[in-house]
Amino acid sequence: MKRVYLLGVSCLLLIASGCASVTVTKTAKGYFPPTDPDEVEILVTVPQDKGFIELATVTTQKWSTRATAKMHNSLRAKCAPLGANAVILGSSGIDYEGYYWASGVAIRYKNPGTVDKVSYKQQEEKTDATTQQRKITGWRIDASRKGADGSFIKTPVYEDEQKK
Amino acid sequence: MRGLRDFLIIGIIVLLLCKIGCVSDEANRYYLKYRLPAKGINEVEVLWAEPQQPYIVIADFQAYNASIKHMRKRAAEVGADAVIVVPAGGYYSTGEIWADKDSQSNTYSRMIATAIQYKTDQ
Repeated sequence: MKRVYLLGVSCLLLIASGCASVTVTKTAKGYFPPTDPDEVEILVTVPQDKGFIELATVTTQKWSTRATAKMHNSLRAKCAPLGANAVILGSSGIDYEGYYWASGVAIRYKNPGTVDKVSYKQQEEKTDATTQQRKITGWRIDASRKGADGSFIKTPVYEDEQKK
Repeated sequence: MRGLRDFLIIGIIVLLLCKIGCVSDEANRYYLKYRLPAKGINEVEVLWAEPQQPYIVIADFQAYNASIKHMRKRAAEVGADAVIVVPAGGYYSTGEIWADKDSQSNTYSRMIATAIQYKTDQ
């Protein structure tokens, strides 16, 4: 009886603390190393230019209709451990309680541009090392191009470029 | 009347405990054309990532509310050397703002596992 009471309280606490849920069902054969959640793409069309394999079907639910981007992050976080490079959303809707849900397919590219979590971090360190070697001496403003926030695009001017 | 009420209460408690604690939707796949001899559960290594040494995939397991021990038992039944486990799905905090942060990563809905056999030189 005490156990049931504790489980009930836990469920209530989870609802009060604002928890959505993600269900993942594996469809692929074998194991794939995890990817970086930050690099998992959310797609609504099937990528035509890249070969891929389907890893799992995925459903996320109990979302506010104003939390679509957070919902996408939940898919990223829960599909990355399976080795996903992207999630193709297939359907979405609002349940009888007014919560938003979405479902799709987690995929892994056969030749990923984004690489596995470990090697991605190694690549990042390598890029940092390369950038550190090149000293930025100023910024070049491109008045013909504007960014998303309306400001002009700036590109760095490196010390070695200036010498040339 | 009171007996019927007690019976109903006990029935509901039993149902709740079964619903919460039981493994469900277990669906496994076996890939080899032949069967391997079963092993003892303690002979099966539990891995959280891919091993360094070459291996072949024997089977894939998945089930709701399954424990690592459950997957290890299944791997032992198919004669695997090791089983790679991946807890999948679960709760996700709606307050989370970064994709690579998951405060509910200790929760999972479905346990996924891959049974493997190490390749030998022979």
